[in-house]
Parts: sequence; C-alpha cells; structure tokens
Amino acid sequence: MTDSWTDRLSEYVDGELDATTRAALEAHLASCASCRATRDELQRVVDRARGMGYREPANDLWGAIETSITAHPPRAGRRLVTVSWARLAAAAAIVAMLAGGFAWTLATRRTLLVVTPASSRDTLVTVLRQPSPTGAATTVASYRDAAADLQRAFDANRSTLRPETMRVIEENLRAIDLAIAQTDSALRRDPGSAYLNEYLAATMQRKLKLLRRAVEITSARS
Amino acid sequence: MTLSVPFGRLVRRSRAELLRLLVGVAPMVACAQTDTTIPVQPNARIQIQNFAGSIRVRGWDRNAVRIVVGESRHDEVHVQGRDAAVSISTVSRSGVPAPLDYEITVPVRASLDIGGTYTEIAIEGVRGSVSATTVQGEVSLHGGDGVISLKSVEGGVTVQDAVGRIEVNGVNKGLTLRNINGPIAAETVNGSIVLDGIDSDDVDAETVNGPVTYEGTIKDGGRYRFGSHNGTVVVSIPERVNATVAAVTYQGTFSSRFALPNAAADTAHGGGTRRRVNFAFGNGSARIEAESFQGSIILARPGDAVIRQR
Repeated sequence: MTDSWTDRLSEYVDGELDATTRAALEAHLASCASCRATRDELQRVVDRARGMGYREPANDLWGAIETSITAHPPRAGRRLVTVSWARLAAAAAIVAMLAGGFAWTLATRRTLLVVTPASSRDTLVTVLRQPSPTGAATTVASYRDAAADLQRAFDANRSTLRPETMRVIEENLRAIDLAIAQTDSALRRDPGSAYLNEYLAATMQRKLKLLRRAVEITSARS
Repeated sequence: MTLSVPFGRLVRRSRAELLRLLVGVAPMVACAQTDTTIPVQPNARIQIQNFAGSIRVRGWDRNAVRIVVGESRHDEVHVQGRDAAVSISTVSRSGVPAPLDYEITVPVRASLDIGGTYTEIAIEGVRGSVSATTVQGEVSLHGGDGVISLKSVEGGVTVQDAVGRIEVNGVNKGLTLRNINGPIAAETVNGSIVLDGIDSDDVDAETVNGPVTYEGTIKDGGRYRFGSHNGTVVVSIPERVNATVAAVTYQGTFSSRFALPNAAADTAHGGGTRRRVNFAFGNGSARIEAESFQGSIILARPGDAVIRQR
C-alpha cells in the first residue's frame, strides 16, 4: 500500500465508489503503475469469484414471476421507483427466500417486480404493479408481511409448548431482530454498501426461517 | 414377543390391528417395562417418536431391533411393522405423555428417523442415514452415513465421525461437528459452531451470537462460508491451498496469524468501520467467505493456539 488511493481500490473494483471519487481514482490510475497492478490483481480475484457461479435457491420463483408478468402486463397508473443494484440484490434474495419456504404467503401476495434496465450504470428503473389494498408494495414489505403472518401463527399455538420453551424461542427471535436493527442502522450510515444490503436480506431470511420452524413445532403439537 | 392386552381392548381394535396381533407384531401395551426384539432387514427404516424423556440408540451387528422402554402406568408403547420398516412411538392414554426412556438397538446400517419434544437423543455406532429432531434436549450422534439431519431448539447438537450430507440446526445452544466427511450446513442463533477435523468441499456455518471455528480441508473448487453477527470467526487455512478468500466485517477486525499474499487489500470506509479483505492463495479455485458483523475474523494455520483454545 503505497498511497491513499490503494485503500479505495477494492471499492473501485466492486463498483461502490461515487462518480466523482471514481473519476479521480481513474485519473490516478493512469499515472500510478503500482495501483494499476493492485487493481488488476484484485480484479482477477473478483472475476474468479464471479466465475464460480451463483448458488441457486432450492426452488426457482422465476416461473411464477414470468407467468404473472405475462398474465398481467403493467398498466397505466403504475409507480416508478429507482432502486440501486445493491437493494435489488437484497430484494431478490428475499424473493428467493420466499420462494424457498413460504408458498402459502406468496399465494396470497401477487406483487412482483418488472425490471427494466435504465441508461444509468448503477441504477435500475423498477416498475411496480399497483399493489392491491392488502398486498405488499415491495419484497421487503413482503418480508414484513410474512414475518407478521408467521408470528401470528406462532402466537396462536403458543400454549402447545412450555412457557420456558416459548421464552427461549422469543429471546432468539429478539436476538435476530436486534441484528436486523443493527444492520439497518449501519445501512442508513452506509446506504451504498452491497455487503450490508445482502447481509440485511440474509438476516431477515434467518428470522423467517426461525419463525417458520417455531410455527412447525407449535402446529405439530396443536 | 409377549403381549398383554385386555380382551375389552381387543374387541375395540380394528381388524387390521387384530391381524397384526395375530401374526405376532405390535401394537403392544407396555404397562410394565418393555423389552422386545423384532427381526428387520439390515437397512431397515426405524422411526421412533417419544414426546418426553430420552431416546438412546446404538448399532449392533444383528438384523433385529431391540426395544427396551422403562415402565409407564399411563402410556402405551406402540411398535408397528417389521422387516423393512419399524415404527416405535409413545401414545398417551391420558393427555400429555409422561416422560419415557427408550433404549433401542438397531442394525448398524438401519436408517433412523427420531423425533421428540422434551427429549434427549443420543445415537452411536450406526452407519445409516439419521434424522433426529427435538425441542428441549441435547442431540448427539456418533457415526452415521448418508443424509444426516439433526435439530434442537433448546439443546446443543453434537455430531462426530459421520459421513454424508450433514445438516445441523440449533437455536439456543452451540453446535459441534468433529471428524466429518461430506457437505455441511450448520446453523444456530445463540451459540457457537465448532467444526473440527472436517473433510469437505462444501461447508456453510452461521450463527448470530457466538463464535465459529473451522479446522479442516480446503479443497480445490470447494465452497466454504462462515458467518456470525456478534462472534469471532476463526478459519484454519492449510498451507499450499488454492483458495480465494473474501472476508468482511462491519465493526470488527480482520487479522491473520500468518503472512498473507501481497495482493491482499484491506479497506475501511463508510459510516462504520467496515473492513473488506480479498485475496487468493495459489490458483484460488476454492471460495472462502468469512463474515462477522461486529466480531473479529481470524485466519490461522491448522493447530494454531487460537483454534485449539476454542
């Protein structure tokens, strides 16, 4: 590490720099062989990681998304929302998670994304179908709905387990809630972080998994 | 098998049940201690359900299942099937079943499907697939070969000397996996995850509150993912591996107990103290991801004190 720019190269390779910083760094790269060499090496590492492929979710939701898009093309009155790649990745992760375990939730919520790449390099224009009065407007909202539904199902059968067991499950749910809150707080300070967005989605997924397991346990004994 | 069934009960049973009784197979009532042995195939599927108490299973080299259950005044032990599949369960005659202690001996190659609620589960000396689930109680498995799934909400889970696809889920306690050969998925919320003596090309271990420690192979083309929200993540990296490492922490630190490749870049920026480190060993074909939101990430060599002390 020979100068202040080398510390920004990882962000540069990950596409996390703002336009001004990126331009300044590119100007620096033109004149600094050491930084160019480090950038090239980092790029090779990242390319290699990308080349390892994407881990598919257990169940693919795309068929349902495609069917929904075909059956219900966007109509007038739709809402335009700009979503960063990072947030879209987080949303996609939640969609994949929902596909993996909450078909019954999806069956009652038909809000899905129609994604059209925009001219901007780092943003997408996302067209949301007008949500139904009871539907979720975004997949993050779908997470909240799914969590609320599962929580209600969990609460409905709470008498089937000993109080101390219920307390343990609730304490662990709160531990995950705290992790979600801490991540969300970090995202407010660092909204462009792909890591934090992905981590938030993964932590939400963990919350839903535990809730689903808790519901399975209580339902089996009701 | 000795059966002790009141006549009044017999006339209430279905014809199918009566037929089973006539051919000498359960259901069976166990007012006194049960001790019975049933012939089964070497790879029979054995299902055991016990609401509360304990289930201890061990393997033997006979093609038979031996069932020993402690005395119960209020509950029945039902044993159904023979040969390819046997089902053993506690059925209460007065609401919630009382705790019962099962000792089951099965053919070494039998596959096991064990469930309980307030139940301790211990399995040893088997070489078939194993599924064991409880809510309040420890789960321990010594052996196992095939698809292995172990779950507990309130208890810790331990698996040792197993081969196959291993899935271990806890909630409020830690997970310990030793001498495992095969893909691993280990997840808990409030507890540590110890992976020791692992021979695998696919490992995924995540917890919220607790450390994660990995010591084992890093195979070419393998995928290894370790994550904790609050705990330290320690990953053992053998010498001469081919692996790409991506480590990231938001409020923790990253350190290595040995020299890293020159290309390692350490960045810190944003509203917190996010640190991201990417680098490769050799041709980088394996993928290692280590994450801890507010804990440390430590790379070490096998046998390093930082691993041993955990």
